[in-house]
Amino acid sequence: MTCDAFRDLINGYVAGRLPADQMEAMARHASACDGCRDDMDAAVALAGPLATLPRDIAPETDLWPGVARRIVPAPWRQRVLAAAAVLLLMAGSSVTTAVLMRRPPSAVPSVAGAEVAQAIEARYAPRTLELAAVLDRERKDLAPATVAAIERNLAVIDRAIAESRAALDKDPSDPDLRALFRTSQAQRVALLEQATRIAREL
Amino acid sequence: MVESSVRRAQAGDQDAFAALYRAHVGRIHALCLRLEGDSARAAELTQDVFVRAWQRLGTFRGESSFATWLHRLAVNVVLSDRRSAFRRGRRLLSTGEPERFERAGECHAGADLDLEGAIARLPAGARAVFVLHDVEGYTHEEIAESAGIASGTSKAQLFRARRLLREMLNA
Repeated sequence: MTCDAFRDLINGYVAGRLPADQMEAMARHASACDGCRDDMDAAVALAGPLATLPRDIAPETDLWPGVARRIVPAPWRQRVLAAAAVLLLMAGSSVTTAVLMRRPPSAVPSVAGAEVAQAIEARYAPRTLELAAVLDRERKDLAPATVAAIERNLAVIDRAIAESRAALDKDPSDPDLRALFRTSQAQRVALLEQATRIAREL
Repeated sequence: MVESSVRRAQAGDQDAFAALYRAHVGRIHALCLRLEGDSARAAELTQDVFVRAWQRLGTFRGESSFATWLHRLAVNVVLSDRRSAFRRGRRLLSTGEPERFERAGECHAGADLDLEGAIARLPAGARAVFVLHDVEGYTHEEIAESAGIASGTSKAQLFRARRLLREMLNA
């Protein structure tokens, strides 16, 4: 047994957790190596006191007020996020609903509609993916409330995109639906840009 | 109960986060106190840990228990703080200060110390490795990764720490 291997196994030896053959090898090595025997003696001497150390030690004073002061989001950020949520809810839901309500539904999505939607998506996808990747990296620095607000807003926009895309599938020639689909995609990019800007400013 | 508090805290519920703080503050403070050896600094670091935990709650995916996630976060906060403080050209857990190690044992000879007090008097590098390995159960590889040192350095620090502690306790 080498000294390095011996030292790796000291804690197991002191606790009696090693297999019998390793326990014997450890004892043989310790009897022949002064340095390792000294290491083992030190570990044995500390084993008892170590077992009595408490797992918890309460702070002398209540630290929560200091923590609470530091985890409150800045008021301006709360206002920005609240305003963004309202604007996006209005732009995402009510406009979509208003446009969709005047469209008679058709039974089968057309191939042309899917192609139109894909062409629009292709223009926004690179920037959307780029910003989403940045946000994924930086979200660890955002407060949970901020992350939750961003995700709520993204969910609203994603619903608007899904609704306008479904309508576009049915009537790809309608310029209003194309504009609506483009607007929804642009809104998602705008929200991601705003969120990454907030994360960078922290 | 804890998982429910975590989910609510992740959604921005500060009351839920306060409950998590109450449940874990003793464990985190004990870690900070033993790693730092100074109660005022340990209190500051404990606060830093919970502020950082709040900021990073979104990254907790439940792959380990919340206690484990928080404990590892605390280790990183304390070691990062130490690295910043020691960023004057000297490596954090360097073994290159044999005289300082020897002095640590000598200058407290005769003092009536328990293990807790003796740990606080260890040199910073040896104290960190001893606390993380022998008290908290981290492996040398884990310590090496967190502290940015070689695992061999971690082993050397551990054995120096044990010898110094034995000397202090036997004095």
